[in-house]
Amino acid sequence: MSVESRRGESERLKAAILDGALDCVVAMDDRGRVLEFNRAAERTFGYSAEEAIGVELSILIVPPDLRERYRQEVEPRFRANEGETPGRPLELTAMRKDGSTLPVEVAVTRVPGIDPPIFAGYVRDVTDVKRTEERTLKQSRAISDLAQARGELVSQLVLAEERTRQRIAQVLHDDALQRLLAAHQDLLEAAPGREGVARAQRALEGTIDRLREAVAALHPVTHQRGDLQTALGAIARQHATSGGFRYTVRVEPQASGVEDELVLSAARELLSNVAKHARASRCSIIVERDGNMVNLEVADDGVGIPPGRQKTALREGHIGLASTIQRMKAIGGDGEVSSDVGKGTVVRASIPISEPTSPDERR
Amino acid sequence: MGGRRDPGEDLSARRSDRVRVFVADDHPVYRDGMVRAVSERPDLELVGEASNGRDALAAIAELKPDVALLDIRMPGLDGLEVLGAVRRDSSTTEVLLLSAHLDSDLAYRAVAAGAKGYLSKQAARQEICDGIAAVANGGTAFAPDVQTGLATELHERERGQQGPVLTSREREVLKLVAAGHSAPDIAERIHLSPATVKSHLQAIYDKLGVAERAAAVAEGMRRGLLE
Repeated sequence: MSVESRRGESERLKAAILDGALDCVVAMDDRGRVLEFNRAAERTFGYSAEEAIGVELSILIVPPDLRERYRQEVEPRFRANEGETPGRPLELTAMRKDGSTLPVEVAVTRVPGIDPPIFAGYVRDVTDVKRTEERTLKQSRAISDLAQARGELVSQLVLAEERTRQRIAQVLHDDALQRLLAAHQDLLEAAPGREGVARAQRALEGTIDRLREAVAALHPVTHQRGDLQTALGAIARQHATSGGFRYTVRVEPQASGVEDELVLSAARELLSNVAKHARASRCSIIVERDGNMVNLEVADDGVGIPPGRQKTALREGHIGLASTIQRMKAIGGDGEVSSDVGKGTVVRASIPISEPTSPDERR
Repeated sequence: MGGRRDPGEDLSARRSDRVRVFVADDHPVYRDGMVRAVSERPDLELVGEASNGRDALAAIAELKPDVALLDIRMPGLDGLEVLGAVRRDSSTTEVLLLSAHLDSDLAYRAVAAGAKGYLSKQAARQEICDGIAAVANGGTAFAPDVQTGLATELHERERGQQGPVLTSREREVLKLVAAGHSAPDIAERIHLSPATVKSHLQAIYDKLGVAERAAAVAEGMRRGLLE
């Protein structure tokens, strides 16, 4: 086969490559006039190669209102690119024959060894890419909005529960219990020593004790004035009595008065867990402030939690510990359990300090 | 509990001999019962009553009773806060506190703030009146449970005076330091970042009041934190 015909084949091959390319390929002279316009360019912009060739590219595919900026800012950058490989693509808005616009990436390179220069431009329609990017962005925003909303909901739920406990405890303590105590005193004075009275007296004492226990389990009512240390102490004392362990409570002063309700709620769950399951002889409760977090640590020297136990417990509906940790995570904090069987368990919960709301809302 | 006089002597007692008592409780039924009991006692004289801490404090300043019987939990100011204010005013009024829950922590705080008595609201009214008389005569009136709780609380607090407690993680880090491990080494062993280990180390130094590792280990040993 002759060299001539090989060259012809080579030309056809190049034409086939150009026309088969997915990207638009456009060749221009040094004044920006179109010399080549491949199939993809025809499809993308709606011009036939015949229409396009000889027309200045900026007039052909740049929207009129962007044309001036294109000539002053974009073209010089393309001309400056002397390399053989296209420079970093620029994102531009282009226009089709019908006047509609589309986002494109454009890279231009000067074809080497030709003078006056010829430029090859590669134009990619990035409508789909843009759409995907926007969708991803929208989705990730939606996810973070959802996570935030979930955190706020869980935190409101915990606060609402804590405040409800507080209110019920107050009503029981401030009214029902006081009436019973007064009645008890009346009965003591009324007819001491008579058998029926003594029975009533015992019944009343039993009721007072039960009510006192119920109030204590709900909320430490006598420690309501922003003193986390004593409130935690009251909760710890109660669980220490039922769980048969000794305890220490340590609250760093700057950790008190910020997220007390959430700390109390978490501590109550954790201590009740220690009392029910740990068979501990000692338990330490430490609350510390770490930047914008309040860290609660409840450590015991009890039987520990065997590996995998938490998961089976969760399946069996014993959700105390797991749900505390889940709640901490949901409100943007964290929770972690480390346990050595036979040596005890340490639970760390961190609670993010929320933006201060209006004073009457926080009370 | 002492100081209760012979009733026969009380009947003939002059007005100025009687103990002037102020009662503050936010529950009307309970307060009325106490007010009646105080009024009926020949050795006591009721000078006033209040249903909240603020009114109580103002009335105590004005009436200067010998003894103020205060409920711990009250709206406005609670019993302990009224107690604190009364003591700050260097008033001659002695304070006897009442609460529905006897609590060792509250007992400790009450005594520390200068209360002369702390009784359960479940106690018979005559018992509470005896307490008032005892306090007026320079004595004290503490429920037996309160005395036990107070002893425990004092012991616990004394133990707690030894300085801030290290968290279990900090103790773990301190033990590894004592065993001669470097910070990066510790980080690897307990699966933490070196930065976190360093911040634990700093917290340990701060809590123990030391500046560096060797001193932290020495102080940790002294306090028995490395056992």
